[in-house]
Amino acid sequence: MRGIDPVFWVDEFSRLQAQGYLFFDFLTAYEREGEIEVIARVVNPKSKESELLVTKVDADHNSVTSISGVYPGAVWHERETAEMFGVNFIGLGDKRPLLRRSMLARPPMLKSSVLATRMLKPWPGQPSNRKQQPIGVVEDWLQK
Amino acid sequence: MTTDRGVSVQAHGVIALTASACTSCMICVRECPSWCIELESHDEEVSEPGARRPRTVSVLDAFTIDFGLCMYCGICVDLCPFDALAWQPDFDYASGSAAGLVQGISELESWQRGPGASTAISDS
Repeated sequence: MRGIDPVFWVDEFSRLQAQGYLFFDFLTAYEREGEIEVIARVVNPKSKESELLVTKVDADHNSVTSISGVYPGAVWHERETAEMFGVNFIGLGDKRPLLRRSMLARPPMLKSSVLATRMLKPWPGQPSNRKQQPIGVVEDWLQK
Repeated sequence: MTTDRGVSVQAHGVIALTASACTSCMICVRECPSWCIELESHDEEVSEPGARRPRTVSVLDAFTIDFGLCMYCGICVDLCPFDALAWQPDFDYASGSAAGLVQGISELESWQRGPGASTAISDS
């Protein structure tokens, strides 16, 4: 896994493609310590070598440059990452959501997003004699 | 090792419960990321001859796993301190309704693979 400066994100993929990394495998994002990082993998089908690249999403604009100009197959993955993590891919032509019907609620894959089902269903692990916080739920959230 | 259905015996097919081993400690319920396990229990006092005071034990009243919510991660199986939960390779418990995927104590216990298990294991 190689960390790439966001400024060189697209250039790095152009360089790899010129070197024979013709197969685009996947692109997604993850949240670590409050920061979102975008990760993508490309493969050289001849040498069977692969490169896994990571870049930080610009925190102010929540944006990263789209690599769909280099790898057209990345469009689907960037659309999915955009709707699930709220990342804005600069230069991505097709911005239609894939799964979400409404984009009004917060991106569901962010750790700070509380899912609707977590509001509707009481936590089955709540002790009767004291309040306890379920694991993986944001700190200041407590069910009524 | 596979079952006679051609599935690895280690497959995450279904979670079997051994109710007699369960102490109602609630660890599985609290750690489940999908909130798919529910457990009800009550305390009972057990007097033993020779003991000064009666002992309080938890008695399991209800234990359900909603396989419609379960993501088969196995955290509950890993964390159970008394091995009351175990993976079994059985998978044919499809249902026509979401409620049909909610299994209680008797259904979860029926998955236990003992000497008289219905699914034979072969070495192939």
